[in-house]
Amino acid sequence: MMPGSAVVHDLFMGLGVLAGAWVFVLQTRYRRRLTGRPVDDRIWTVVAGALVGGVLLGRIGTWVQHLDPRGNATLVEQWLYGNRSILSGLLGAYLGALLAKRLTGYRESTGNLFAPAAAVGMAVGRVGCLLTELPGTPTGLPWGWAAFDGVPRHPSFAYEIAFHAIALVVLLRLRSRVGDGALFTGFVLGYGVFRFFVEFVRGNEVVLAGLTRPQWFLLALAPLAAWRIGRRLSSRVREGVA
Amino acid sequence: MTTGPIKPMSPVGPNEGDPRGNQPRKMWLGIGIAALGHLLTIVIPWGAALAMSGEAAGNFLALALIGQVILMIGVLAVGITLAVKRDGGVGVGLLIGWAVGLLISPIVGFGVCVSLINQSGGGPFG
Repeated sequence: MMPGSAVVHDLFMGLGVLAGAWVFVLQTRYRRRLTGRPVDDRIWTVVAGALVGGVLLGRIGTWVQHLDPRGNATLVEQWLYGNRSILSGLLGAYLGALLAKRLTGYRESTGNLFAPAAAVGMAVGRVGCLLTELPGTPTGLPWGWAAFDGVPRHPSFAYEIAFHAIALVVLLRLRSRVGDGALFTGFVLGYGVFRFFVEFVRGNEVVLAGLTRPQWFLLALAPLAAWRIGRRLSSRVREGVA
Repeated sequence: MTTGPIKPMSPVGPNEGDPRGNQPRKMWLGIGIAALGHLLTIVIPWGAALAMSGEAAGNFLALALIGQVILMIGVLAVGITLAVKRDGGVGVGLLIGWAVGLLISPIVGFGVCVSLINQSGGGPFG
């Protein structure tokens, strides 16, 4: 890594948060126009919960990487120098928002407000990864990127930026048509599936059965996603019956 | 099944007018306090590292880390308590300010580390 690349990385992460915040505010205004009433002010408590959960798990989410504890960094090392993880950050943001809603008794679904903001924030944040990290596995494809070591590699972060850009367009087109919360669930599921497959060209360390840690992380979360979809579908069926 | 008359949508939000609701002014106050806290976790260790003997950048990192831990415990404890009590927005502002500051402060901290290494005449930036 070049001197200062950590700063570039963190700078784009900060810009991603700002861009996401801007889109979030636009979304609250859009909903206000759509429903004719402002969004409940407790939404900011949910935002706070999502941010706190996101930064905490984003920082320490990759702490336990080895089954042998001696192979892992200390918590202090992880906090200062450890990898930041978007996947665990997303999980932290989700759990933080959920906890904040429970604590404040906020019942409304908020996923449709968060989904476009998350897409924009992650797209901008990934620019920092693209500029500072080894982008992927070697490739002979014409768009292989040889910026770091002279070896053409899959620009996996560019793939991800493209995914988020397309997702943003889809989310904005669907936001007035789908039920509350479905947008975020759909976005997270879509990203999970995309990320699982892009990991094959990301170049992350393969740890077990040909899969990387993020892939195992995603597989571990799959039952939670299935439960969430099942719950949503059953509630829709109940609404249909009523 | 009968339905009542359709009511016009109210332009008033569910919690509008609630004194306990999150107010922008109080939220910005909380954000400002958290930002000040982050600034202090950089400025105080910077000054102390310059005054102390030994490796300045290492001293700065150690002191900044202690400051960050204290700030984290303080902000999370106070922020969550106030937010749950619905204090009007200071607690929520504290939490938002701390989280955003945590993303930005490494950039400033890195700059301080580079300047300390340069001052001591060592390292790749010296």
